[in-house]
Amino acid sequence: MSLGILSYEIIGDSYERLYKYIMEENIPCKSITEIKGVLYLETSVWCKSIMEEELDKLSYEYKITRRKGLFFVLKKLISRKGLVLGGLTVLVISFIASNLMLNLEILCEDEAIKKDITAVLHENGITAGCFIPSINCTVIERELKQKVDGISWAGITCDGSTLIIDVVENVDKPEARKIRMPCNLVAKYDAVIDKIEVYDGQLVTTVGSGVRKGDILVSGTVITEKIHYEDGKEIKNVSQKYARSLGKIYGTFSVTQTFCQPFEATEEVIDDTAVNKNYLKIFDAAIPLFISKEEGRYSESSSSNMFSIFGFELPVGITHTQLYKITRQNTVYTEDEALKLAYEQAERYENNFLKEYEIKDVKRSEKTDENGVELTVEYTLYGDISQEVEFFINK
Amino acid sequence: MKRKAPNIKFTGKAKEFMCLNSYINILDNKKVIIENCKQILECNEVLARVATGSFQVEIWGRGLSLSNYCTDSVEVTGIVESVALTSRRLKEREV
Repeated sequence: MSLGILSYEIIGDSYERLYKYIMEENIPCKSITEIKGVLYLETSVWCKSIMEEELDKLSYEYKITRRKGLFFVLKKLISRKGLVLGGLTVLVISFIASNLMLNLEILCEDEAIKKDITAVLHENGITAGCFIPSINCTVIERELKQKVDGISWAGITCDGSTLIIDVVENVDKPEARKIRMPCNLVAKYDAVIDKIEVYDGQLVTTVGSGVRKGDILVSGTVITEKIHYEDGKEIKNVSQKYARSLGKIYGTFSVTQTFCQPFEATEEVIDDTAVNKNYLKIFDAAIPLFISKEEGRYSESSSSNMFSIFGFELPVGITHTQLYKITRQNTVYTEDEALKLAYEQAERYENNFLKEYEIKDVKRSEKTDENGVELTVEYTLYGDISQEVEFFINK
Repeated sequence: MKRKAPNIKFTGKAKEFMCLNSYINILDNKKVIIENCKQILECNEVLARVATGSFQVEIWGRGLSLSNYCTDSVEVTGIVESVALTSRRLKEREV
């Protein structure tokens, strides 16, 4: 079926000028014939305006005798709004219905596992009636493997409107042979020992004594002596065994840390004005609705608005993204500001590295030169100073 | 007696080289396709007259109709009875 053809009936004195125009302008015409002084021709619907303009200019009488082609069929259909609306509704309904999950099949015998799987699926919004293309199978599979006890593998497949969950149940693990190396507990810092808790191994230090970093506190080599008397003679039996030293040795120690803050520093600043960019979101695809590409570094925040019909959320929507430009700029601090920043650094250090110790005392000293501020902090800490160090047994 | 092949002049050769000659295809008595057509002069049921670079082509027949689908080409369909070519130069002289 052609796109659209118009049949003209033209009455005029001479048609030579019209022929000339048709050839000059390359207007596609067919079935050109003169019958009893009347010219009949057919032309494309796209040439209607230029053709009629020329016919008017040449003062010809004309009329369109026939219209045929897809263009006119569609035009007729569009005028019948009910038909169009009905067709569109059928299309939308068939599209949605063919993508809805109507049945869930879990390939597993164990009822407890089935129950757990259903719970995980419900958590992720996978229930009867959910939209199949919006299911992220990889994420759900991973979540099933992590959250459901008793399965070692999970796979999701879609068969029409049925979602099939295939799982492999756990196979009992063979007993593994564990080889644990004997170890000593050694001091992490130069410290004075305050409290000792030993569960295994031989203690080689005492409360109140000072130790240096690397000194053995609890030895993994346990030497025992047994003395017994035979015929009035003292017999000493020395035996040696190896253990994995367990225990906690608490001590007081000091740590000195220096924090520097220069007066001039380069820092990243995020602009307040945002550049808005929109994306057309279809399922997981994000199609940009803009042409220009932003250069440079940006901080991004985005939100998605999904379209919905009768409360049913469609997998189509708009993602609004706001880009805030990140610029690097030199900042000059006053002495007070630099000192404040140095104190902030010290606070961060305490939170990150000294969390497991009790801070008994803090001594701070500040020093300022032409480049910046130097904050030296001496912490007196209390806590477990031991760490396990494995050793090999000489055979 | 041997007849000499007609000499083609330089202009003729140049026209051939530049593809300015008209190609006329006749398909049985149903269709005539004329390429490098300059002008449609007349087209009625019994006569279709078109001008090419050097000739005026007259197609006589019954139920003739003309179509121009692409640039500088026309197609005459119907029952073709005769095709006559007249040099445009001669025609102009007659006028």
